Formats: sequence, structure tokens, C-alpha cells
Amino acid sequence: MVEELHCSNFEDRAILYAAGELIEEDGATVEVHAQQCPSCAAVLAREISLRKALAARVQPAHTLDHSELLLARCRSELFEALVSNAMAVGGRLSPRICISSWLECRHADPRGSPCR
Amino acid sequence: MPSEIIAGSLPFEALPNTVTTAPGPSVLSAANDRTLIERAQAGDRSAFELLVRRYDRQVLRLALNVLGTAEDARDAYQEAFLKIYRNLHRFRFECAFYTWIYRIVTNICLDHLRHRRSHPEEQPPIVRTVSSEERSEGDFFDRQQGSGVHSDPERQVLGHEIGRRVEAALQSLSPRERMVFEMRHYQGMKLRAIGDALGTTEETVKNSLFRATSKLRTQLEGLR
Repeated sequence: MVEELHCSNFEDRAILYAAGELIEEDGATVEVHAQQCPSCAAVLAREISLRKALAARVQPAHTLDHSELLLARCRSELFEALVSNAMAVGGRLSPRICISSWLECRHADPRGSPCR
Repeated sequence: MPSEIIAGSLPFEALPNTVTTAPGPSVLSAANDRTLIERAQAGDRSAFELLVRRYDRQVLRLALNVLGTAEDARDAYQEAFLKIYRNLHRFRFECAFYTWIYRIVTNICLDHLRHRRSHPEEQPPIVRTVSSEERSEGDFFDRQQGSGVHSDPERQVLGHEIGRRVEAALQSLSPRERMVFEMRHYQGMKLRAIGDALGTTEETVKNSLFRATSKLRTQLEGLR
């Protein structure tokens, strides 16, 4: 249970309410207060509207890697780096060499063909 | 806590913790995190790869959303998993594995964001902010109530515009506020889990969320 709800601390509580961070009991307290106080009701409506606007954002992850080709490429590069370095040290993984090798590849070809 | 992460982490009690014989691939893929981590710590690369596949979708998604370019996200992905691999022997099961992963990933993304802020000349042009004329033309938030932005072409255009403005508003946040906001609203993590990942308290995360929300509200007020 959080501190008692007043108009003075309503905004923070409204932010948590809109973010879905309040337990049911505290959420109900927010709703009851908003029903009784027009100015706080406006604050709550504003926070909920802000949430909707943010939800309308098309996330870069959806546009930049909708088909998960980038994910596949990242995996491929990572696993390839692990394999090549494992072979280089006789079948035993060597993380330190693996990282330095990968970084060398990235600096040599910043646009990123996979390490060979 | 992201649902995919929960789905990928089988209950700890579901499988024996000690594996005395080398399991085949199908057995490994069904193994719980602890079994995979222990095998990876012992040098089993296939176990490490399974751990990567279990968590990397969320990691890349976070990096793409926060960093905004495929190239930076790809760098962050590689840096994160190589760091995870290099430090796996230090993981002592004192927290959830995903928490440990997120700690590493968020630090890397924060470094990227801080670098951008300290080297603005290296960044592409920022989307313009809202003009005073636009601010005076009405209340953006009122129009959001009950509107489905993709229901017709006009609203699709409006939806793109909103998205562009939201993106610009997110750029105004500090790296830490940005990370908190991203993890809460687009990764669906609870404040406590974000605090664990960022190595801070839930109260501190909450304050970051308040500041971020306040800034976003100011940035988005008055949009058409």
C-alpha cells in the first residue's frame, strides 16, 4: 500500500496507473478520486491519452527487422566467431581471442560482412 | 518481465541440475537455463548457442528500439553476447539469467546513447520539435481518446505523424530515462525488474519514469 492519495500527489499515481504499475486496490483508489475531482480526472485522462499516443509509435524493431533477417545475421556472425576461434585454439573456446578477432573484423569492414 | 523470456526459461526444478552424460541436441534444447549455463561454463558451445537463441530476440529488439539503427543494434548485440560469453564463468546464479543479460545489454546501450549525446556532430539530423504555432492549435491528447489511428488513410497519415513526433520526443530523454521508458513500455518489464537490470532501486526507476513521462508530455503537448 502506498501513501494516501491527495490532489497534490495524484499526478505521480496517475502515471503509475496508466503504466499498469498499481495493484488493484491502489488503482481503484485512483479511479474513485478521479470520479470525485474533475481536475484530477483531467490529469488521469491526459496520462491515459499519452499512453495511447506512445502505443501508436511503430517500434524501430518492427520496421528495421520485421522479417528477422537481421537477427539471423547477428546469430550467424556470433556463432561463426565462436566456431572459428574454438578451432583456432584446438577445440577449446577462447572468449578473449574471439572478441578481439570479431572487433578486428568489424573495424576492417564497418558495414559488416560476416567474419570469415 | 517479457513473456518470451518467461516462456524460454523452464522451471528450475523441471530437469536435473547435474548432467553426467553428454545429452543430445533435443535434450539440450529442452534443458533449463541452469543446465545450459553450467554446460556452457564447462565449455559446451552448443549449450551457449541455445542460451543465445533463448534470449537474443529480446536483446536485439531492445537495441533496435533504443538505438534506432540496424548497424548500432547489431554492434550492441555482438558486443553484449561476446561479453556474456567472456564473463559466463562469473555468473553464480545469484539473480535470474535474464537479469544478468539485461544488465550487460542495457549498459552497452547506455554507453552508445551517452556517446551520441557527447558527440552530436556524428549523428544524423534530429526530427524537428513542435513549434509554438503548432502548440496553439489544439490539444493532441484530446484527439487520442478513442481514436484508431489506422482506420482510414487520413488516420494512417496521422498515425505516421504521431509516430514521428513520439520518436522525436523520446530523443529528448536522457539515456537512463530513455532506457527505463523503453523497458517499461515497449519491453513490458516491471519497475522492479528494470531496477534489477540497471543495478538500482525500484524507487529510482520510478523517479526516472516520472521525469521521462513529464518530458514526453511537454514534448507532445499541442501536437495536431
